Amino acid sequence: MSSSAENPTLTAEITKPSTEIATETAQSAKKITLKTSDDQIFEVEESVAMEFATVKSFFEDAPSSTDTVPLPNVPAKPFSQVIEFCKEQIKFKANPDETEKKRSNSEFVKEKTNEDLVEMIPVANYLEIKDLLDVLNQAVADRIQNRSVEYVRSFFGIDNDFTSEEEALLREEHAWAFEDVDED
Amino acid sequence: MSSLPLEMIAEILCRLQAKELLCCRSVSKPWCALIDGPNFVKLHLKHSVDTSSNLYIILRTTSHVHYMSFDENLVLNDCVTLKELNHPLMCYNHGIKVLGSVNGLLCISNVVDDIAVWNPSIRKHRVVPFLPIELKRYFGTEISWPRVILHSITCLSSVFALIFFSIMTMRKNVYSKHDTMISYLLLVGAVLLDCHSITVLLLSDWAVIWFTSNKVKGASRYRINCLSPLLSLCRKRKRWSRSMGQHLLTSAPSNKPVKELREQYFAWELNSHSRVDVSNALKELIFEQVMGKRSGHDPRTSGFNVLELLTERGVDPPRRKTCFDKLGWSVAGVEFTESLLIWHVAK
Repeated sequence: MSSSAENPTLTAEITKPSTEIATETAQSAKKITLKTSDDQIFEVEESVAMEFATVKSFFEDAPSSTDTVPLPNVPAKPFSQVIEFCKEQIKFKANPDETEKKRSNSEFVKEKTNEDLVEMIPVANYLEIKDLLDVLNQAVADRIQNRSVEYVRSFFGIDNDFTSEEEALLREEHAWAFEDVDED
Repeated sequence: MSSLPLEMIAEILCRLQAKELLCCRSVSKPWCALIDGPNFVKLHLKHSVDTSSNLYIILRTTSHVHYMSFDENLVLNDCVTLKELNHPLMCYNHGIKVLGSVNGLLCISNVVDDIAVWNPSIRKHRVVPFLPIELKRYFGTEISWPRVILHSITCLSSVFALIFFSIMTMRKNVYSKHDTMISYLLLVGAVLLDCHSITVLLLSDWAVIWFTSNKVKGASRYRINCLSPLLSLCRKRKRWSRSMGQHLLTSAPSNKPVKELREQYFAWELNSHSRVDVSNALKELIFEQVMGKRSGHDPRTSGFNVLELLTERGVDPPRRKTCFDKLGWSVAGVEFTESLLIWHVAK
């Protein structure tokens, strides 16, 4: 309760710098060209691209470079979703509202399929977007929480390499943990 | 769907609870190895600490341990639900002690000083091995079933003798007054003596271990529960009292020459049979020695012989210094007390 009471003063302090940032981005509005592993070209605003720590360090090493930045480990489909997430994030950078941010994050995650989430994790990891990685990991953890072993296997596309005896032994060791598991 | 590398899987799994991780162990061999590995354990702990998740309050009543999930009950709603944890040590209602906790592990002990390190989240525990240093007193108070039966027979017979004698003298007094009094005194004395030995037996380590072991069940368990306050009261003194009895050489079976020598050389010490405190360093030394001895003589193997163990007294140091051939006579050939004295004089 106390945090929401403090919020008005917080936002009042922040309004000024936030408008400055807005005008700055409007002025420069520099676009950065990024090339994914499947040769798709993405033109992204500089402020969004700077969210990717990997891209940021690329420009820190070569400040004047205007070339296309190759992203060899990033396929186009999850990358477009990552950009979508970062665009949302930038809004909260200027105006930090934790509850609103959480709501927007959970909404972002909610409409993604399991496959989308799992595909985005390596991309977020490669681009070193810590916030996104946190959100994705938590979302995946929530989805496999209290699910059966078979569900988890199919979720990640993992083959069972245990023999039936070995698996029975493992289950027997902690039989109580396999009780009360949600139906698939 | 392409599968994720294990380090990314680890980042996801460290957000799950212990119970779910136990299930995830049977997903595949790499997952099982990952979850069992020390790095993942650290990662999971770090994540729990950073995000204040997996917090529990452990509450202890005399013989039960309860837990309450911190994040579910206190933060979200006001209702408090206590759940009982089944702790692994035998105790009935003799009481269980929580000695301490770190990183989700609890150290607990019961009335017979069994100590266990216990992880309630995965319901596993390890009992700390029985300290071999305590063996000596354990041997001393060892009581077997024949002894219990013998004690009960003598106790019962003296009680019956007393009853019959009193009935006899009440009906027709054929004995003189003095005879009757002396007989009463003797019989009452015998009954008291037997009662005392039975009480000692009931309060011994052996009895406590037998009471708390699995064998006693049902109705007899209820009777033991009545006994328990008495038991815990009488067992104030720890089995390992952190002190050591001094050996009185004069009380040893050895004879005159030893006594004369003692009076000549050690008139100022060894006179009293007393107890001295043992420092931690000395305790550690004793512990190491006993462990070494134990590894050489496992009571579970068939060839175990206590006498053989005792004849080894004092043999080790000269053997280690490779002068056993020259000095071996001083420890192996003579009686133990004599050997002690020889080494005292030599020192």
